[in-house]
Amino acid sequence: MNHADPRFDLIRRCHDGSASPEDSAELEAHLRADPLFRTAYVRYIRTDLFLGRIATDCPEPKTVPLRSANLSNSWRWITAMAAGLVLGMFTTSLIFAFSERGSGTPTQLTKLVDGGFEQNVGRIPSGFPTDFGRWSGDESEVVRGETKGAALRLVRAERESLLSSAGAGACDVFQLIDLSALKHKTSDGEAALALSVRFRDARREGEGETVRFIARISLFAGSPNSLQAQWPLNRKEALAVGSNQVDSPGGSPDAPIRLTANVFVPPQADFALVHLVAHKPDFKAPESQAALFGEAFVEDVQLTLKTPLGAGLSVTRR
Amino acid sequence: MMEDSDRSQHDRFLRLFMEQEERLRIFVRSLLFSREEEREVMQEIAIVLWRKFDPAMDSASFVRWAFGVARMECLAFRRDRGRDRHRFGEDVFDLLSEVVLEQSQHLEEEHQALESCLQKLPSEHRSLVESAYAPGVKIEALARTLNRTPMAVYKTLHRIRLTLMECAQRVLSTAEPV
Repeated sequence: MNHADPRFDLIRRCHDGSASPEDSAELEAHLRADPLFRTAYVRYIRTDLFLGRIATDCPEPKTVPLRSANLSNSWRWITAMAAGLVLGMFTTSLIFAFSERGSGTPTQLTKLVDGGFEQNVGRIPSGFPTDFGRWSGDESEVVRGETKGAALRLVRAERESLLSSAGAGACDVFQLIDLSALKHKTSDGEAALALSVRFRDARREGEGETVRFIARISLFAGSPNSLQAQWPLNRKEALAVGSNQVDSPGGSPDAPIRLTANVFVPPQADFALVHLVAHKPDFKAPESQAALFGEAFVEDVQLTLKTPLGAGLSVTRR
Repeated sequence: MMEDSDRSQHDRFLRLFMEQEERLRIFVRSLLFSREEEREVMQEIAIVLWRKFDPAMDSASFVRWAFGVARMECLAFRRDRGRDRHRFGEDVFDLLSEVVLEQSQHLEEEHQALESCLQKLPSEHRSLVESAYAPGVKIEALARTLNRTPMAVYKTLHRIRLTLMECAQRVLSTAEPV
């Protein structure tokens, strides 16, 4: 089938949500009448799904939590699997494509500080960060294991003071990153930041409810001072956001989960906020109570700046 | 703790489901159009399949049954949530499930061809794909960031899909190494 066939535009309208009921009926009529069009239609769907998988792929396939058969709430991981959160069926990601084809030598993105949690031990500062390059947030502590190296242990959720009615089901940690030194690489709006985070759920089978790990990077213009004062009410002021998440039922203490979140850098972006979360979506408790974690760990955080191919690729990696 | 028999059943289900998961997803998307709706219905399908799974079922029976469940779940979703929209007739459901199953023999080869073709895209198109398909991204918001209209972004993505389809077909038909 020739791709100039106007029926392809009909497919587009239906899948973009801009089609009228008459368009949908017309598509149905073509699908019913023409086997070749039916074949092309399904191929179009497969291509669309392929792109979705490629764009959300992560360096470590998310099949890891499934390798343990010791799962007590099986429907939960099946649900996660069906939602595309667990199956990493494609091994080539765009990140790899950028890296392998690049002629530049990877260098550290020094603006993200202590992504391996090796510089300090103990409790990180409480609350939203007030300056660049420091981890802070809800109750969390940097620990050093004998075999597993340094990690940030997420201990307890804390209630957002500006959200009086909200319970505390999520333990959030943050780092602000100054992008001003990268302006010369991001001024064309073509550069992207990739946040890669390794989480570990050290709970054994059947120890509590599902924990949702979230890796998020948000880009803002202006100064972070105003952000700190009104957080989280002003989070929607972000120019762009990249986010990824996975639900963990526990039971795989030796299997880390790698999440990657990507975001294009708008030219006006002045700073980035790295936001890592362990969340208990099923946590229901009075306002005064907070979800406990303790066995949720962040082990490695990397931030990579990717600039377009053909324009002198440079990959910077922490 | 899971009993051994439960674990065996669980493993067998997982194996069968994983074999069919992508086919089911293609089928569901072909009927519902939207990514969000597809994900929601796939969750329901997975839950129903697991709850009613018969471990004595062979692979061919599982496929027939799973597609039947998918069909019912899509119909139910459209009935409950899409009352204002045109719904495909059940005969079209059957025709589409036939095509999905017929074409699924060569999915792996097609993926390899698509990956190869993706690398041949201009960098700005690859960047757009990565951005537009990232979890939670709304095309309207992305369009604002790019200083383009949502329709322009949708149309560019559409052209990229067609380009990739054409390229993949060419790769597959000429058996070009990928």
